[in-house]
Amino acid sequence: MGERIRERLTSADFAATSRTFNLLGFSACVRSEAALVADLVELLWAPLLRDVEPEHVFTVTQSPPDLNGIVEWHLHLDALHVVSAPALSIVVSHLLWEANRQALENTPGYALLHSAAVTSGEDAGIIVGPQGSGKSTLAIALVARYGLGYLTDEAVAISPNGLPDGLMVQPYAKYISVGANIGEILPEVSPISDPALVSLLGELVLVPASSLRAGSVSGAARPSVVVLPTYIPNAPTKIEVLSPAAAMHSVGQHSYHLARDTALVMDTLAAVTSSARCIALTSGDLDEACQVVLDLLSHESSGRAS
Amino acid sequence: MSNPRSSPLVHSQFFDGEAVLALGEELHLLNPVASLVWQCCDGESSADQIADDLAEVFGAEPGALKVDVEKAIGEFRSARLLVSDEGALTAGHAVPRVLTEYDLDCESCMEAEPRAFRTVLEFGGLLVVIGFDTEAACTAVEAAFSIYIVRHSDIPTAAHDARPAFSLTLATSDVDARGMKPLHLLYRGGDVVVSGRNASRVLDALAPYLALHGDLSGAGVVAIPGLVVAKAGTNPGEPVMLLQAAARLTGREQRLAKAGIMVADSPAIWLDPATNEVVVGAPGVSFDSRSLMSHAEGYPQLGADISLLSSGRYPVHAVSARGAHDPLSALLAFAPPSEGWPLAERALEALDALLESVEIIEGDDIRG
Repeated sequence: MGERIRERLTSADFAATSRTFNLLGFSACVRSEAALVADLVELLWAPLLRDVEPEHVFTVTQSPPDLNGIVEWHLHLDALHVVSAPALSIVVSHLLWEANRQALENTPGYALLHSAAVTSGEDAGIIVGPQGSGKSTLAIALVARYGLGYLTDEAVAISPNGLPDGLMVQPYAKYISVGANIGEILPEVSPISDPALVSLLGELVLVPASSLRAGSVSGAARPSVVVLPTYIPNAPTKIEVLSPAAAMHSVGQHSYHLARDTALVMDTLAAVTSSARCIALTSGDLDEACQVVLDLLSHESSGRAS
Repeated sequence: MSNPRSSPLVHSQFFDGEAVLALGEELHLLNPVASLVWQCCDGESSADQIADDLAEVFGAEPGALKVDVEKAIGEFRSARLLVSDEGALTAGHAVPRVLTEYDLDCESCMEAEPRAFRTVLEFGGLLVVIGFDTEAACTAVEAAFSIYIVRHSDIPTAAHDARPAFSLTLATSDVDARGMKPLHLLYRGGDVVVSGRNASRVLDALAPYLALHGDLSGAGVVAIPGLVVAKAGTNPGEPVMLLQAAARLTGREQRLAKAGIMVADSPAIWLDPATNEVVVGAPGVSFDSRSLMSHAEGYPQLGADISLLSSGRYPVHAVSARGAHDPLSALLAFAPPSEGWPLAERALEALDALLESVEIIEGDDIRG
């Protein structure tokens, strides 16, 4: 973004401007003609807010009514057009999606996995699986019900091995997107319920990370356990220990930039799966599944202590 | 068959016996035997030699591993993990991508009859498939864009199989089968982007649409989403106005024509940042329009067409968009998309500079 365009974006009057949010390697603020949008993003990205100048600026603006009386909302990133829609909720959903996409595209030097991660002390448990495998529900339960720390529900960013702070899972504590029936599965979890904010979310049901449990957001941790869950209703809980190669093959399917950063991703995942305990977990019972992960993390922790 | 040679594009990670290979977005898990075979695929040994070498290592009879080794090599080949000797030399050569970014999966596209004739042009590293209803139209376009034609033997399978990025439908009669007045049409993907009553207009519009994928930088322009308009009788060198592209040109034509307004048939405004002039035409595209015009003469004139600005350079005197009342709101109204737009950042900078020197008119009713 050129300096003059930045000046135009930052000096113009908007109803509200959010604080800067740092999403991995992407930092931005939101300037909006609808004040609630700034409130919403500050709530959703609360653990990631920083008092620094943003590198990027999202703007949410509104056109005056056309001849038919229809207004249109617009989303721009650094003055480039992202989307226009008659409903503000559509623009907001694009804003959340685009910010996450930018985070994943603008975090070089890390192996990025589409997965969740929780912590127990210095140890991180990476929970990897396709949509519907139960990884988010498992991660939320481990944090909200069993007191583990929360790192991410979206993208595990692992710094490469060999660096002073290498082979560590970085925190990316963005909000969690859940199903509408989350209250039946995990009554401890509180999605956003303020009617004004809910109206901005359309169909989305979102849980701010900071509302999972007080003090649950944790710092970077070493990947000690890798779990590949599969939720099957009423299935007995079973675990299968995976070889490093088999684990890497499965985990690598969920990496974001395998083709672009092949060597970085492969070398980092090889280091993770060679040093961590890797299992495939099949279960139809959330608490039993949680107990497996807790035992694994506890075993790693006590092994290091001894 | 040549000796198996591992592709230099494959990244291998070895563990205790097993291995994981990565090629592009694909991962392959190898068992210990396959892993050993893979490590022997250096282009120096044949499958039989590899089988014999491994048998010796394992203390097995010569030939005992032949089936396993051949099976593993066959799987490597089908997963494109091996290259031929020629392939090894050209592994780094980039194959042009097929232009498929337009909505080619829409319902109407899927239902549409495949075009009987097609040609493939190469623009800026992209293969652009163009479809036609008649061989004569295809021949005319190939003559006009001869320097971009990809030889039939060089067309990759992906382009052979792709639905056209652009298609031309030229009406052969002034009444269609339903008794309606047809139009000559240029499609981009499944969308009609230009519809004309004169076939020459539609044929001539192809070049500006191709220009969006060509070398705009080399042509000294950037692309801004929007429409160039001017009052009737405007010639190159005389001022024009820029309109926000809130609607397709086709939807506005009648209104524009009634207001006596001329337009540029173009998918974007071509702006020269050095002079703040707009270029009407197909910057960066070399084509011979004579074959197109000659071909157009064989089609019926279906009525009066809208007045088009002729090719050339025009100074900009004003920009107009709904809600645009200052440079920032005008900038946002004309902003290029954040994804998939050529030179988007540079276009934004050029637009920002232009807005310093032109009048900004709020509203989208160009009659005002």
